[in-house]
Amino acid sequence: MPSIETRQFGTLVYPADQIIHFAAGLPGFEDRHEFLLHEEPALGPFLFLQSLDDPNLSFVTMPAERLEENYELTLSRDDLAQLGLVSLPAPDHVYCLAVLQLNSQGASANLAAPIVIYKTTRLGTQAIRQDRRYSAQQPIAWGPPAAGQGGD
Amino acid sequence: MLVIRRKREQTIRIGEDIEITVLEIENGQVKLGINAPREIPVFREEIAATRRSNQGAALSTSAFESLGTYSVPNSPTEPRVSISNSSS
Repeated sequence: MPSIETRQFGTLVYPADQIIHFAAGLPGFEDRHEFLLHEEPALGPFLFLQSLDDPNLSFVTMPAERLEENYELTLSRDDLAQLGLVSLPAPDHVYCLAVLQLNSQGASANLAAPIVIYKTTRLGTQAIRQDRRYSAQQPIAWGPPAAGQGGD
Repeated sequence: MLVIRRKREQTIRIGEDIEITVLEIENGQVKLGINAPREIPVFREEIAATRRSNQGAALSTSAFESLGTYSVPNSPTEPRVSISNSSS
């Protein structure tokens, strides 16, 4: 089985059929095409998107519906093509993951451009919304207190 | 910001090489045609914003280590995601 030595998670061994292919990469990382969805047992609801092209590159994500109840995912024709689909998939056939941004100011989630993975083909894309219904920097209330605030 | 009013089929030129034409105005949407040299990237602002957001989100070791201090609430009910089509 293939494996990769990652910065955050040590050695990950994975079956080749778990590879997720992003034909267009991700905006800002257009040349990174292959990723793994990795779970850390101690970090329950977080899902890590680990690049297989760059062992130092990973993102922390969380299912969008855990951040925004009844999240409505909107897919364009381009998004569907990236996922190898011609019509809308059943909701339980896709992962819809918000990328989290963690910094000293606190944590936020990008609900305006979720990572969408079609489980059957394991094709993925970042579905950038055309509307302004959800925020690209939705604050996460249950994160650690921002640096310089509170504390004892 | 420079503001210019244009009608359908009218064009704006930026420098010698860039041409933006209003092709269609319908239901609050404007369809633009853009001619620009190959070396000038043209993309929607949302893509540029997503690029910046992703670059800021690439996981650092300190951010990874901070995850253990998060207290993620349990979802009381099984939350759902629904899927719709966008017109573009």
